[in-house]
Amino acid sequence: MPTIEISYNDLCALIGKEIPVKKLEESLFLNKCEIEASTLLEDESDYELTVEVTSDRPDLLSVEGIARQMKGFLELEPGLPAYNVADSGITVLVDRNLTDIRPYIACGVVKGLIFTDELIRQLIQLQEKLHTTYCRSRRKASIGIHNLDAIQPPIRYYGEKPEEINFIPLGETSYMNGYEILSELKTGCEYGYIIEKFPLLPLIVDAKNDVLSLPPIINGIVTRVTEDTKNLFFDITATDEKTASFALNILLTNLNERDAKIESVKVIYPDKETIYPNLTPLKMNLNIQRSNNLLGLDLDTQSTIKLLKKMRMDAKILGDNDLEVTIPAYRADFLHEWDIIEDVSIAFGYDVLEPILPQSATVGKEVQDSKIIRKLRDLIAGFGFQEVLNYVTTNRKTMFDKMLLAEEITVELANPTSLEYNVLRKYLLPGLLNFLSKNTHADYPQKIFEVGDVVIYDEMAPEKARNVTKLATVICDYIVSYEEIEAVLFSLLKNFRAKFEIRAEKHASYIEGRVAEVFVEGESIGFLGELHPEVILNFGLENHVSAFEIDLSKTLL
Amino acid sequence: MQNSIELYEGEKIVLETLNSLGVSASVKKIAERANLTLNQITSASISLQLKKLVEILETKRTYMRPTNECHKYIEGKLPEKSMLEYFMSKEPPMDQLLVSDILKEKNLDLDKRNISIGLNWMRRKGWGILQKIDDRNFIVITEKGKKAVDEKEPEEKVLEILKKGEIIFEEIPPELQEGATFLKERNLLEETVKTSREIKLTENGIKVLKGEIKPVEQIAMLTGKDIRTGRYKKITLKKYDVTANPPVIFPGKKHPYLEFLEDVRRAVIGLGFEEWKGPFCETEFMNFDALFQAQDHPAREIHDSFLCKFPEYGELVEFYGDVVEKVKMAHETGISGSTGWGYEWSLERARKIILRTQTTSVSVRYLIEHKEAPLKAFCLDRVFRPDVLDRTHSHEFHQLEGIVGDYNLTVKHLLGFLKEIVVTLIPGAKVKFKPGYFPFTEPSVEAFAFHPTIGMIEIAGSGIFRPEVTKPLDIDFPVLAWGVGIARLAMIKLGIDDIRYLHASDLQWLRNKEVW
Repeated sequence: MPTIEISYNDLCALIGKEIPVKKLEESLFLNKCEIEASTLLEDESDYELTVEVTSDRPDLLSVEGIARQMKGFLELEPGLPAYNVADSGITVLVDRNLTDIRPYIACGVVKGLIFTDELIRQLIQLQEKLHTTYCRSRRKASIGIHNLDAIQPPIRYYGEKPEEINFIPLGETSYMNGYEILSELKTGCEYGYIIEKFPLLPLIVDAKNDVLSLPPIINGIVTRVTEDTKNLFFDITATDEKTASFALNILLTNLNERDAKIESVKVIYPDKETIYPNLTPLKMNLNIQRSNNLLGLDLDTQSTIKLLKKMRMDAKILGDNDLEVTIPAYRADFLHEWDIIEDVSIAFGYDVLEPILPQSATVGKEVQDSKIIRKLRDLIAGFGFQEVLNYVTTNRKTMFDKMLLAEEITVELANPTSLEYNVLRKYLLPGLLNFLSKNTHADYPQKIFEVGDVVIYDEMAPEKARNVTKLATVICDYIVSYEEIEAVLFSLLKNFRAKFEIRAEKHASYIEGRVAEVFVEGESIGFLGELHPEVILNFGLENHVSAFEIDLSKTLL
Repeated sequence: MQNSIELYEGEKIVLETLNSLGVSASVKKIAERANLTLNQITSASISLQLKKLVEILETKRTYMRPTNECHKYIEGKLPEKSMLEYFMSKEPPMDQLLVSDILKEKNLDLDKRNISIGLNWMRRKGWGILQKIDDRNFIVITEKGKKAVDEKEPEEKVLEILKKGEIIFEEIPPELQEGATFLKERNLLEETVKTSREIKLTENGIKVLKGEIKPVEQIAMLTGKDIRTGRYKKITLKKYDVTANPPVIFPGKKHPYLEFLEDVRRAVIGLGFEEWKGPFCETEFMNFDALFQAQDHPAREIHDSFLCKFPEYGELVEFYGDVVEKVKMAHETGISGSTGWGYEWSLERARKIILRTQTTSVSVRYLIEHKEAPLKAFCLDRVFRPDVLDRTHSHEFHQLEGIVGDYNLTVKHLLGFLKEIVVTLIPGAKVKFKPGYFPFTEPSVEAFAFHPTIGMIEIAGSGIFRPEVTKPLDIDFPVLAWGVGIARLAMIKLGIDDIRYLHASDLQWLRNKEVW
């Protein structure tokens, strides 16, 4: 979940009231924020708060959004915030050639800002956090912030050949073309993959042909924001219009908390015209009975409306039990009536909502396998074996090469985080030998076992693979005999009333003449024997090993 | 000169075995030849030494093996050396560098942690001095540092020998021992000390064997025959030091972490839950789509779930056709009054095979097969996430997850159940609730537990399954869902601070771990 840094003084100033840190901490905890750390500055003038925000609330990713939420929650300024949007007179013309690349652009203007260090810090942080979360690392949408007064409208958004692009990117000193920007700039390397597959790159230019931005990579230097900037122009380019529009709404309305004036921009698409931002509240109906049923409460119409207002919404009474709820345009998390009900419950307060235990009578039980496996493990521990637990992920070298086995079909990962763990085990024995290899200095005899799931390919299963529960048991000592491991297996199978037989068989991992295949009711369940010295050496072991591995799912479970 | 000496059976065997093996042999060899245990041989040898018939020569061997961190340095270099070489290889060499700029050096193949280790050791080795110039931190390479570039330090020579595996401290040249000690102090080497005992016959011992000194039998062990025949009345038994430590024995034990999980399983069953299982290899459909996680949801990105290269796609329509159709609708246009996510849902994407990232997929499976209220089910099993294994991260870990479904369940019941689960797992804990967010539940609640000895921990996530989740499964009553990161609790309970110990590869630790 995203984490942001805010100033306590700044937050209180925006709320318009000094609220003790402790009280603030409790209130934020009851919303979708949590103060992870509060640090008193060295000169003791302010607290630096580190706040974790849940990822469904991008509007809370700056101090202004948190202040707006708190003003409602603490009932200092409940209800829907009102926004006045004037027309900036600016138009943006979108070219048809972007349709398959990044077709949407939402723009807006903010005027009359008084730039402070905190404002700049919050604005940059909000841009960055929206990029990484709501905008899906710039893939779905990306945000450009410009000095409005350096732009000469109208603005054009179109696709340009990389070699025809030529401008000085923000933070650079010389002109670069599209290829250079994608391959040489840090952001080019990081986000270039989003657009480099297209023959044309998206570009935003003004009437003088000055480049505002090459989204989603970098802005041009001409429109850079400095200490002297008074008015801001925002562009949000996107593959999805809803995302662009919400991101713009969040940026503009959050800045509005600092008394800035919002102005609209007309975007002319090949097939339609859209005025951004669209700050018309979303309307959704809420049935109070359903709300009460889900919450276990008995709230009347007026108390429900009061709670909605705490969450910065308004409501109109439609009938005895129905409300039409208006939701602020910066909230991107409403899909269903239940989403409104959650806000009602948050406003009610999870600290006062009374926990009660349901009366539903059900019978607890474990799956049959768990019961049998537990008895099995008890028994083997009783034979003096130490249980170990290995990872399900492993590698081919351990599972096949070291065991002197030919490669077999096995589940393989496409994006392993380590070459040591890139396939799923289908046998337990290699994992046990690997375990022994890390313990050659521990006292002997070393007797260990594992009961666990392996995964095998299965053409018939919907997932093309299934879990199979196996047991492997190993004795490692200066001298180990076949008989010793055979005795364990026999005793085990007898205790489970299995009708078994064993037959002399060959197996590459075991010494010929000292290996047998185990059958239960005619079906092979595994092998037992003394391991081949080459296997023992492959695992770096210093003593002899006898072992068995059996499939429990075939007969015992 | 004495003519006779008292010997008991074990001592006699050791003397004779030694004779057959030459004048001296290791305890291990004697044990193998005599077919006795190491403990029997050691104790007989000690008493023979008291009788001056053998000498015990002890050799201490210190085995040093590289830690995981060290392996990286064996394959590459110590981070301070990598950094030094990198700075000095620049044209012209950089002898002063802004600390905050080092991270931006693209060709320096070190992560943030390694850079701070490197900086620290450059300073400690006197290769660099940290200096504040114009209020910014610089590292300035010293003359010593410039010289060190071309020199091999003892620890680097040791790293080279380590390429072949572990080293025995006593057997490496003295000039390298300094290096090995240095690496050990830096926690890059783990040491195990093994003492091997070599038993050697003395002149008196040889005389006994030649018959020049006559052995007189002393009885060490009382046999059943001695008791039955009454012989015990005539003989004097050797007196034991009954306060001496016995040999250490290791009982067969179940794994401590699995034992903890077993306790948890029983507790949850006690609350009326039925256990359920599902496969590790799962379709994205069961793991994400059926849980209303949009196909572009960040949790579905490549760095948050393991994708399978083989098998790559599963079959959905022929097995779960009806559910698939409804889930598609929930995502695209909405279901049960929802607006949906409003995008074009891809069946191909849903068919992709991954390793399950959450046991919630098992809850979905349970609900596909059980549609009658009331129901309570749980799953306690492994999930997988593409994390690199270290002290606090694991690519495999266990989750505990449960669902409760019934008519008339409310958010109050959700809190009630959550509280019950937390108190069952941590008796005496105080529980606090906080609004949370999970794509498949609404409302979503996180539970925090406060316990006097543990402090405050975030212990469980929960919520009521969204209608977009339950409706496609034809469930028409609320289903409460809760999940607990059980690995973290296990670590607290087992008193470990390294998650790798849950899958410990250390036999000694497992043997010595108390069961209670």
